[in-house]
Amino acid sequence: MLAYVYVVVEENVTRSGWTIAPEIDLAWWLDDTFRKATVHAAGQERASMGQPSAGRFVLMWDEPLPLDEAIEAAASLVQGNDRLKSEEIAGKLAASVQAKKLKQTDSERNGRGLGKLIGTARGAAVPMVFGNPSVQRLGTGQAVAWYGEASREAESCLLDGRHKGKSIDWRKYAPAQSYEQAVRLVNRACMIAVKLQGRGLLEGEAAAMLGEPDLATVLEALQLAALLGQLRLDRAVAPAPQPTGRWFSPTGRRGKARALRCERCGSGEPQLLRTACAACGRAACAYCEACLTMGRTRQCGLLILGMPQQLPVATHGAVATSASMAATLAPWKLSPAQAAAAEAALRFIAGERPQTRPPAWARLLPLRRSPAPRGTASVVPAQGRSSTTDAAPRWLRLPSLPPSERSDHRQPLRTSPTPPLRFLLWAVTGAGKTEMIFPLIAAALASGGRALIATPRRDVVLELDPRIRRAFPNETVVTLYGGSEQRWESGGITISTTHQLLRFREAFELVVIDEIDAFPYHNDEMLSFAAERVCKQGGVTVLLSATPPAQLRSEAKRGQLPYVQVPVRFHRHPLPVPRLLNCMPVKQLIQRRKAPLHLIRALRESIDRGAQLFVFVQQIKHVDPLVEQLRRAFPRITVEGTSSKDEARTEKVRRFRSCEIRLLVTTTILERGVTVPRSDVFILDADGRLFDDASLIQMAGRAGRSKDDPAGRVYFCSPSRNQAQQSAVRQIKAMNRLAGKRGYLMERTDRSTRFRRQGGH
Amino acid sequence: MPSWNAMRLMLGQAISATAAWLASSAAACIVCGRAHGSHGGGQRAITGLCSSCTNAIPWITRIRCAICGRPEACPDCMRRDVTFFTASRSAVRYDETIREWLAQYKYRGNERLAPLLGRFLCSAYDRLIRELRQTYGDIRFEAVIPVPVSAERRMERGFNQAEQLSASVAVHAGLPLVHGLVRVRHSGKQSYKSRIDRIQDTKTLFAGEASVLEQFLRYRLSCTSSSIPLRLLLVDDIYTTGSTVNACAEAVTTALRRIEPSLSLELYVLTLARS
Repeated sequence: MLAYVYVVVEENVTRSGWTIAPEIDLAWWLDDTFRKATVHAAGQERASMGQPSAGRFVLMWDEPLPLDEAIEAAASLVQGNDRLKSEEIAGKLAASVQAKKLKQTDSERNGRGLGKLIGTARGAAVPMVFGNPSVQRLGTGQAVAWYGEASREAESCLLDGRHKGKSIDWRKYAPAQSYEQAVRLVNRACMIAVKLQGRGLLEGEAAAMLGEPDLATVLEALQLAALLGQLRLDRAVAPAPQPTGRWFSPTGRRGKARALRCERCGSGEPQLLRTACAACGRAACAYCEACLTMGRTRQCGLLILGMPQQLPVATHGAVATSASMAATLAPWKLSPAQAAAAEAALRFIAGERPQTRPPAWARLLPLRRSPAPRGTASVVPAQGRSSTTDAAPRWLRLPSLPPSERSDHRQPLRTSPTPPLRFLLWAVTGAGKTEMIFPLIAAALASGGRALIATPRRDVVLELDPRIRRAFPNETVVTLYGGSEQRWESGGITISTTHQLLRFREAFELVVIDEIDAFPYHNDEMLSFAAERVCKQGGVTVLLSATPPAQLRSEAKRGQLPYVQVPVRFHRHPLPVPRLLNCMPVKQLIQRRKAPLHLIRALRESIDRGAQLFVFVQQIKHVDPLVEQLRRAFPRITVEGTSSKDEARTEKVRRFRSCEIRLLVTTTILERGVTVPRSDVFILDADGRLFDDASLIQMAGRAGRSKDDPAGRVYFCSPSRNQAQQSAVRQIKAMNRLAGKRGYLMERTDRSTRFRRQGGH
Repeated sequence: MPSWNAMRLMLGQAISATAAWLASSAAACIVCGRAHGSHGGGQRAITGLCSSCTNAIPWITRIRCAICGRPEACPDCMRRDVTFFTASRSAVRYDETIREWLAQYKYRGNERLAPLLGRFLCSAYDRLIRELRQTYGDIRFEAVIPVPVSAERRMERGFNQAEQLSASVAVHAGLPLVHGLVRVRHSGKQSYKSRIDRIQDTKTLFAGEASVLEQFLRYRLSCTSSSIPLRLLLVDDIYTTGSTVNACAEAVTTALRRIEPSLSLELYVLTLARS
């Protein structure tokens, strides 16, 4: 995309700007009636109208530049109160544009590098490319064009190559001629701005969302909305932020092109590919490969950022007393452990921050200024976070705050994003995590905010959808995943895959990220970049996991990440502790065509007690042979196998749930998210490389999930006990111990005798 | 005092840079993204592709229709009134695999596929030349002309796939690339239309770019004798009914004849996929 650079010159102020619809900017700055009409129609009369345009004029480079270059050129131009002669300004404008253009050679800019390529490839001295579509499109402008009412001083700068602008018809919307047209345009701009609230979209996505066949028709409205301050236009790929610090000097990299970053997904140079671009005419215009499946971000492309939605001023304070808290939680019928966790999360959201400690190394540093004295306030921002976010979110204020605090100011869009407040809900498998977040969602909605539940997997999104709709029958629920039909809708509750977060920006008061340790979210910088940005300033991100990654665990332990643990399942029985079963590797088992007797015996016991059997293996190629073998061993039950490559997976899982299939051989694809009432779990090759402790705990978590059969069996079958297995068993036992200590477990007499044998420690 | 934040950042960057460097040594298939070793390959091995993707390429090896190079019997060529090109050849059949790859390339904008698809086209070019030389002896083409897309589409997509493909052929064959055609109208996507609609629609869709063609003819005059017929190669991504390339061939013929009425001209067509 191309954009124009300009400078607005007034009596004693100069401002620089860039635009994708120059007619609009010129009319905005030069035509008082147009500006008054638009500001009036947009209902922004209180906003400063600026000076009347008397004596104001605009200098514009009369050739459009690639969007990112235009932004840079505009940024490098003078802004301020310096009183400069218009000639000087025109000179600076020309210099700043030329500086951008000089970086590229002519062949790069207009010949698109192709002529050079073919010419040198064959060593030919003749022209090898005839004609070029991009040159025809690019303007031949070389001059600063001048717009505005004539003033003698301004006229004087039009000599020598600079000319009076004629090419752009900025009186198109002059209200004297077409007042209605101008008002219609403003209405459209405002409507678009409202639709785009909380979104971060590329050109094509915005066009699709607004139902326009292509963006060209929307550009004017977008530019006007940006001038009115109702949305923000930015480049999709921008220079990467430079680390600041004494060891780095920006000058050290002089001469090198500055590293770029995709502004939508945060990917840096390794994911950026530079190709010739017809939209800006450059031979090397970077695009991002990391988020390509969500539409292509381009160096010359536009990123349209809607403003955060303004909340209605909170009329009621939120829960704080234990009585009102109990009343809030009552309708959700939570178990004691669930209720305690939900309460902790609600209190955190309401601004009761637990004391967080700076890391040890920071405490040891004598030169570092110590933070606020301890104990004076219950609210201490976590170390390393900006203190701007320490106030309670507007949507859940404590009633103790003085009313003056509540009177609100407009929250500006984050310029340098401070990471949102995070809260970890560390709940064992089968604890009923979804139920625990219901009260949080309800609280966010009650204050007029919006809530998001994001999960890495599409299957889980589809499973959550009916549950959320049932719990919140009066809310609009939007479900987003690749190919979702609700792609461009918005509602109170959004359920989405983590990839879809790329299309939001500061949209939600409450962000819940489920299964933070699961593929593809775990270890994906792009998705955590996106997740950080969807939460509004002052909003809260709640992270859910049964097996938080090591980094979060240690942050929690060090007091840098507020968290709450739910050590017990909703049915208040302890987690089944895995038994270790000595067994040969699957590969050998398949070769011998015969399973060892004690494995068969354990399987038979489970079958006989009427359980559904999960058999986990490491490799997809082991699934089918093992299914064959188990079918031979247990001819009277249905044995099936599935993996990520199986197209009938959903169907098989359904049949497994309905007990049609009794034994399902699977890979880690079913390690989480699947709940089967009465199930036992056999993990073969439990010492394999692909099963880490988190994975083992998740798989073990498939057993004993229902109230009727809380003591499912879990077997780790392997020739050796490795560290992962031991760690998994240790963590499960620790959770059970914690549950006992907090009194969450049912009395032993209530539990089955079998349980005591198995779960005792 | 050292700045701890800076040090932490630098350490993080160093680690991720090292990780990226290590990761790049294990090749990922440019189509399916799965890691693959340096497979044995054989004659058909294609760099950048894993072996299962390599095996999925539906090469056209046997030709049934001498005009359009289709591997089956071809009613379209019989139905056409006037054919402005001599023959057309395609590299692969337009099956599910190629449909997916082309969609990734054209609509998703995965330009990493451009060199790969370009290589397909080059092998089709080699086969076409071999075929022609068997019949006519030593003949050669003089230029490659890409089928244009509309300016709107070009802006939206950021590239013209036919242009990128023809650039590969031009480099491979050492031929000049001539942007001798323009698309006059912005028509909807071809894939949404029926055969009749397409033929009606494409009739007036293209025009020769007189100035460029003239410039090319002048250059040609300086190095080739005009007695040899001018053989040009039109390049496009997909050949469905042939109406697009036929309209292009017609536009080029008309434009060239207008410049030089006595010119003897032979147009050939090369496309990536034959549906």
